[in-house]
Amino acid sequence: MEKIEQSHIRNFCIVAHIDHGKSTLADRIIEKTGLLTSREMQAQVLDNMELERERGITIKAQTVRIVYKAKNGDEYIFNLIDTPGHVDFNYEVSRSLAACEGAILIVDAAQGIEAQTLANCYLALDHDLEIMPVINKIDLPSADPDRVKEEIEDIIGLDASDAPLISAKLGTNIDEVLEQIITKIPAPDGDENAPLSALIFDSIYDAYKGVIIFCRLFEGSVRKGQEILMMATGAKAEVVETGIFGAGQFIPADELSAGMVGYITASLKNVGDTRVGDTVTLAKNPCKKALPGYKKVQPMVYCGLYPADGAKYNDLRDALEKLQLNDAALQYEAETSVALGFGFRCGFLGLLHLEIIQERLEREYNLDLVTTAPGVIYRVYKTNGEMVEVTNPSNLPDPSEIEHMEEPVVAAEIMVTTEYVGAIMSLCQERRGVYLSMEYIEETRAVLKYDLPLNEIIYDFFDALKSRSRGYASLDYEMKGYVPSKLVKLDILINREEIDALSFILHADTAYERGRKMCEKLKKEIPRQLFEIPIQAAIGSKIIARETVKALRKDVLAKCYGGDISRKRKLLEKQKEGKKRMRQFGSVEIPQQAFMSVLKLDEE
Amino acid sequence: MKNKYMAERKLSLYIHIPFCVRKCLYCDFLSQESSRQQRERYTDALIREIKETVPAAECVIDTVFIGGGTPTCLETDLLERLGQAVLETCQLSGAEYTIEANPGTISKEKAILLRELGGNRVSIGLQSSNDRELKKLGRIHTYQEFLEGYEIFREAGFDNINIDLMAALPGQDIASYRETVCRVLELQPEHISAYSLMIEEGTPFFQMEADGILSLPDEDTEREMYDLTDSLLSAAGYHRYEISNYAKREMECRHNLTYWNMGEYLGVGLGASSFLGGFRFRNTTDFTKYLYRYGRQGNRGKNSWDERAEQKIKKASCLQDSVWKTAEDRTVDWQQNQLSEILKGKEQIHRVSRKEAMEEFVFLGLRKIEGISAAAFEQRFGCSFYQLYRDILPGLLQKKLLAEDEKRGRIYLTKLGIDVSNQVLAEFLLEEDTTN
Repeated sequence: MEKIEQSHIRNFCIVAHIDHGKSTLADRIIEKTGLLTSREMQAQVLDNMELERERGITIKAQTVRIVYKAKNGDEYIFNLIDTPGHVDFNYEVSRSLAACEGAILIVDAAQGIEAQTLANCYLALDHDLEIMPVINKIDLPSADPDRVKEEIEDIIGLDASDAPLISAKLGTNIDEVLEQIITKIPAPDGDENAPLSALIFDSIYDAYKGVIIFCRLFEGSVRKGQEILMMATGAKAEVVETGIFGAGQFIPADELSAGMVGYITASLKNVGDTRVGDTVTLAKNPCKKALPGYKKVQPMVYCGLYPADGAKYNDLRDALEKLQLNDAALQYEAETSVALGFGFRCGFLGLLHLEIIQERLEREYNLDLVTTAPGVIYRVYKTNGEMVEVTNPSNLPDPSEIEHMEEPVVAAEIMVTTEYVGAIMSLCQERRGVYLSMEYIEETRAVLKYDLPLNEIIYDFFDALKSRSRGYASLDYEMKGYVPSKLVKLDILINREEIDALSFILHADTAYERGRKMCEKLKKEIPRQLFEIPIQAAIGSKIIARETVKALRKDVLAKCYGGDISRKRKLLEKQKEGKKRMRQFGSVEIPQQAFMSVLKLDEE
Repeated sequence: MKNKYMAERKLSLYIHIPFCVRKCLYCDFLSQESSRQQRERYTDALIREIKETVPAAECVIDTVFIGGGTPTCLETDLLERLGQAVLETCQLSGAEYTIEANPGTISKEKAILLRELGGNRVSIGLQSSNDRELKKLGRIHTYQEFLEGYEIFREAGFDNINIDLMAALPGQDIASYRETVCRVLELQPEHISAYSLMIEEGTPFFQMEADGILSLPDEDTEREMYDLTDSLLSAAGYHRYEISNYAKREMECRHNLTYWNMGEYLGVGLGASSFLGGFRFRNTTDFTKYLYRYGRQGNRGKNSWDERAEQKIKKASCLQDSVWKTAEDRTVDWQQNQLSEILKGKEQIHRVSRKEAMEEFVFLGLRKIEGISAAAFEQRFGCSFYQLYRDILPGLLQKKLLAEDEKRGRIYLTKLGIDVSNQVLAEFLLEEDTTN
């Protein structure tokens, strides 16, 4: 393959608030560069996981190398590095940004700047990226590009005077974007002869090739046969193949060198060895210093995952193992619940990450799962001076042994139009938020800063935010640390038996309300049985809420008319099927749905 | 035409009349309003179907039930032609012969005719003696009109009459329900069917309930009505022989018992279901298609339905009898060509597997108050009832949902079990591999 001068390479990403058109612009860029014909284009080339397409978000960073013939007649290589679009994956975003020299900032011509626009933009500025604003969705009737330009200048302080006004959907003004990429985004200029230093911004596991490292070379070069070293994990392996990213395929190349973006395979079996943010160098001639910014991502949210059918335990373990090959952030360890049997306590980056894993397990591995309430890592300081971290409420030490407890807190930034400031402030108040500041970024919009306990936002905070602001509020947050908190364990008793899978840890002040809601919800979910079933919420031995499922009095087949048996059979079969999805606790049958229902208490 | 087995095989015949003057608001049965021309063409087709299929069965017809819809919706001339066809085609020897009738469509002329044509039992849909409640149900008659109809049948010589009642009606309370039951008891019918109103999907009531404009009695009231039925009727000398059916001694409906006993029956007419020769099948529910199939210009040639039926029979006949016995007393087998003739043009032809047959034997049989006989089960399926259900029987007995009459070797639902019979019956559905 012909070697391309670094001056003709551009490495960039696209940053935007969710739904501002990142994937669509990526598609248009790929289309315009002629790498794919229109017919070959799927609606969104970059989002190739089925799940991503359905949710309209990009889960894992993907990347593509394209060839652009510029108006000056030269051919340029564009490496477009896609970034995940959710706060759960902030760290991955930061590593993708670190692999670039510039970023296209998309702003919706109607909605203007949103919380993630700002957060991602600041993140990009932190990495010294050249930012090139683009105003998208100018085809919308409510588009107001001039106002948005002003916003960009006033709020971010970027010159937006020549920002392309585009419609990624309709393909309007994409050429202008392509030309500006060349003029505005700097070319890489690393030393090709220095020792190898390459940043891992993603890695995936492939059944045939093993781990595939996605990296950006800053200095030096790498080729087949060389031994590479992952500087943070210490893993070493011999390079089997190097190459670049076509659209949705890997194209082998003899060598990768400074300035390039590409992949390396090296007979590694575990993505845990090739963590995002780590530096790849040569074992024999390592670079002096690892690239800055590496950190091992830690799960923030934990929950129990149990197979609905106990016999599928091994299938679940195998599936988690396979998912982990591709997702170093996913953690799991075996645990047992009296109520649910054998399962796993799993750690996730956030609630979205949890939902994605859960859906993939159900969809790709065809597993029926029961999930327990997600929780965070609590620090329990015991009277004997010991500190334990608790992710499973069942493991909470006896209250007599607890000196005090701490919970994680995040620093949250909420951007909201002024009319909803009051509503959002009271929401934050309800969620035990500590008010820090409010800044007006323009006349009609403010940024609220709060410290919020993580366990208050992992359930449904995002939904509540959206509904109380009619969709106008947006949220960004990052971990801040631990603070002491008055926490208690809430237990649920069904027919006077404690159901461990329903226990959880929460702040004492919210326990009563939550206990009551859980009892109400469970009452709706547990079908009536032959006897009355009390549902109680308790803290220690104190009952704080109670509901009763009345005894079933009637469940009779209607007339079997004219000998039509099939309908009756179907009814009975449905009933039996429903029974299969129940779990037996003593004499009570609880549908699996009941365990899930308590996770969404605030829907009504 | 007659064959040597004729005396031995009994069959129940169901004849469906899918017409009503007006469809009631709760009704999800196959019935519709109709024109004279539709009724004529339908009667023609029906007679043709009877003439084609009944003789092919070569059976003694043990019971006939003309149901609907409203059979008495048919004009006298149509009833006469239908009744004649039944008489000409069926070997009726001591048969119970029921005609369903609804007040508002009953006349002296029709009643006398039906009696002359061999009818010996009438089932009248009353539902309630309260005119306001009748109106809310969308019924076309008053209680007075029912009384007149009832008298007409009595005078015509019907000495076996059933009255259909319904509890838990919109606007009904205990007092009004008690009044209905008591008024009916004054008439001393031989048989009473008492159902609770079910809100079925697709009916106007279903939508009304969803819209919150149907004021149904609450569950406690419904249960009280239900208990009241049992106590009032028992006190009046009726014995409950099936979940919803009460009769004076020896007056149980033989036709309905055929269903619960898994006896064989042939259904003719639109959408009618049949069970014979180990097959369940039914007629099309599409009126036009039915007329096409059996009507004057109908297609008598072989069509794709028939070929499908043929294949199913051939496939099943290899298995037949080695699998399970289709009747308790099997001295005869269905001949393949015989089945082919009957199944021609039928839909949803399904060979009942041994597993399904066992399940159905139980869940149909348990609708009878006397329950099922373990010996009959064993005789029919060649395996022990107790053994097959050993995992669930102790629990159901212990929870007092089922009871056992050890002397008679019968298992039956307790009162509690009847209340929640769906829960109990669903337990008897088998996993695929437990039956062999």
